[in-house]
Amino acid sequence: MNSRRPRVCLILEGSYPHITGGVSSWAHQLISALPEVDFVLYSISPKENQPLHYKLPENVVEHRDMVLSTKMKSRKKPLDREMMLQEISRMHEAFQAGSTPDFSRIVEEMPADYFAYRDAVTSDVGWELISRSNQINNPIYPFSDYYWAWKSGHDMIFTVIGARPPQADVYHAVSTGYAGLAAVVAKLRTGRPYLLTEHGLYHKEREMEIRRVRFIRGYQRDMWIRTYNQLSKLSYRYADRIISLFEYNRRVQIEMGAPEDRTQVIANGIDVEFYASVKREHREGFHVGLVGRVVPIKDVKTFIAMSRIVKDRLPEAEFHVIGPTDEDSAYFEDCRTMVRSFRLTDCFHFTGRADVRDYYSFLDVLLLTSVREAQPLVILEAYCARIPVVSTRVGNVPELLDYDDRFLAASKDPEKLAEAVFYVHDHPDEMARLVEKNGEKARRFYDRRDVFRRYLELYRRMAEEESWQA
Amino acid sequence: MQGFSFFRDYSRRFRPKTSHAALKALETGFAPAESYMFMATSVKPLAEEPIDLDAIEQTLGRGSKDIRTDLLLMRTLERLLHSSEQEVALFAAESINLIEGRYSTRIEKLKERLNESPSQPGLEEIARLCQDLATLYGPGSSLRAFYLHESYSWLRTLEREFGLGDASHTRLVRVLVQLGLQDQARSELERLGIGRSAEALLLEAEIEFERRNYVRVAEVCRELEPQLDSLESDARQSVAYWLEQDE
Repeated sequence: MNSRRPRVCLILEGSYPHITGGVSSWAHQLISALPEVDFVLYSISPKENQPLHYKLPENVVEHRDMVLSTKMKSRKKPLDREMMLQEISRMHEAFQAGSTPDFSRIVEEMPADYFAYRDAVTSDVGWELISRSNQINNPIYPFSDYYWAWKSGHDMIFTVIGARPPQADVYHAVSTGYAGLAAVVAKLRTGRPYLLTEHGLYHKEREMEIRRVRFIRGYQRDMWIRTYNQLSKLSYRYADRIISLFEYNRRVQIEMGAPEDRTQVIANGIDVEFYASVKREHREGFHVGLVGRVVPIKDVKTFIAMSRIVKDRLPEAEFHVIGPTDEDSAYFEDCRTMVRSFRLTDCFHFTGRADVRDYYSFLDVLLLTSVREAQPLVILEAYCARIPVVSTRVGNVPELLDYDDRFLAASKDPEKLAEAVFYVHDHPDEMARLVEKNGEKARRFYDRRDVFRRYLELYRRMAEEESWQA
Repeated sequence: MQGFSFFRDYSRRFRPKTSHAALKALETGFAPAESYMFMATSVKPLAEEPIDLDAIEQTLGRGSKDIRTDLLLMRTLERLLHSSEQEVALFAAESINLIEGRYSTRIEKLKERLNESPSQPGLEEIARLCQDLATLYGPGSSLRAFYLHESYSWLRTLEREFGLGDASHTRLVRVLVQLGLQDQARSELERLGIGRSAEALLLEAEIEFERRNYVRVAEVCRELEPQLDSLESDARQSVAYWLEQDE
């Protein structure tokens, strides 16, 4: 066995170390928890000169940024330009036919430090591709719109393909998309294996974002959705190991072309001892809490609506929203108005940023009203702190709640959520048994140290292996 | 005419997704007449099972058109919230968020403008938006009550600052009806002083309907019958229904 420290290139898109959030804090914890690994950060950002939001751990030995919007200067030329363009054309045909192309030919023909921005539009083949695609997708609207949409989409892809990857034993992308594409390219250029961890499902998340944006016209929306789907499929085809946080996502990955034997679930974990050390103390009243940012995706309005229903039956109830309120000030203001209008001002508290353990010590039930989640860690925290949980049926929540419909509701259903809260209130003995069982489950299956140990094993094994060749 | 063989070649040709796009493609020669005929005749109601998610997305993508379209979307999406397919339920929840968000954003922008300089059109608009958003939530929903109260409170501000025009006064009565405050709605209706006009009779019928006084609803509708043409089509249909019941 090679005793050399594994060198892992962590490829991140729009997150660590420039942006805070779930994936970023996971990446930071992973790096900090594995001092025996050297990490190279390869961050893909939408714009230049973004400040660092984390102090990089000492085992980050290199940090490279790739800015998608920056046009890179070519320092190399393709060996056979015509052949390269033919490969690009073939790739488009494959995409059009709904298959995932052999990407190795493109990477072979397109050397590192060559960026095909110009060739892709000025060559006969490139122009033919744009015109043909315009005829199929957008003939009735101005060609210039289509041209620029096409070009901006392709330029970002060429930036990723042309960038020379850092040296590493393993390339670990923390999403598909451009990060995944960079990992595919790195794998094909260096022969080193590609590990993919998906916290959510990149293509689905981007699709939802695109749907929300009104200025993206129909054909452009279709183009972007297709592009993100293809980027995910490409990653699923080329990744040597594919990790998802829970079974549902693993099944989606397989449906999208990931070979089943290369997929695996590694759930996220938490600092079990940290939350298990919460000293529970009964506080007067019945305390219902939501831990999360005050933003639409957490659907705090449904929490407020549920609070009104609960308050009518349990006058002693108090409600706590524990999390930052400054991310969407208009939404927060709307929520506050709603609290006033529902005459809940005296019993409803927005705490802002706070140490959740202070609240876990006395909450009687934790609620999650989100419309979208992957694997919400607050549920595990509550389990360790011995608090019953009620939630909307999103992401991995049903699995975490043992598919127990007494504690699950459809999104935006305050009545059903209130019913579940009443159940918790009315069955204290059963809840006492349930929280013990849940606490045991969190300790056994969701300890962060075990999760990172599994990654260490994967890194070591993959660093010894040759990459799987597509 | 190329015949419908056109469809066999769909993946390599422009495929219009709406009848409007198909017509434009026909006019400009990018798609044959069959393509337009197909799109124009294969009309499937948005709410009909199995629900066509692409059609919902297209309708959503066009932005807020009118309250009727948004209402239809909301009712359809609420059904999808209970789908056993997680992605479909998620699509529904996020789409509902999107619709709510559009109204909330407009309301917030108006609030900011009104805080700087209150204006009559601004206050009328915000009251309407709040009532529309309330209508999007089903009966019995706490959020519906919340936005109705908001609308009511903006209408009162409008009254204090500029006075209520006929349309806003009518809105005030309707908001009270929707809030279940029938007595207050009735006295507002009387204060409105629009006598036995079609609008006044319609509001009275709505109040009596909410009171479940169906005999009185039918009487008011009979009185309304000669003025039926001055009502909007929805209202005309409701009145016609009650007149039929009365026969």
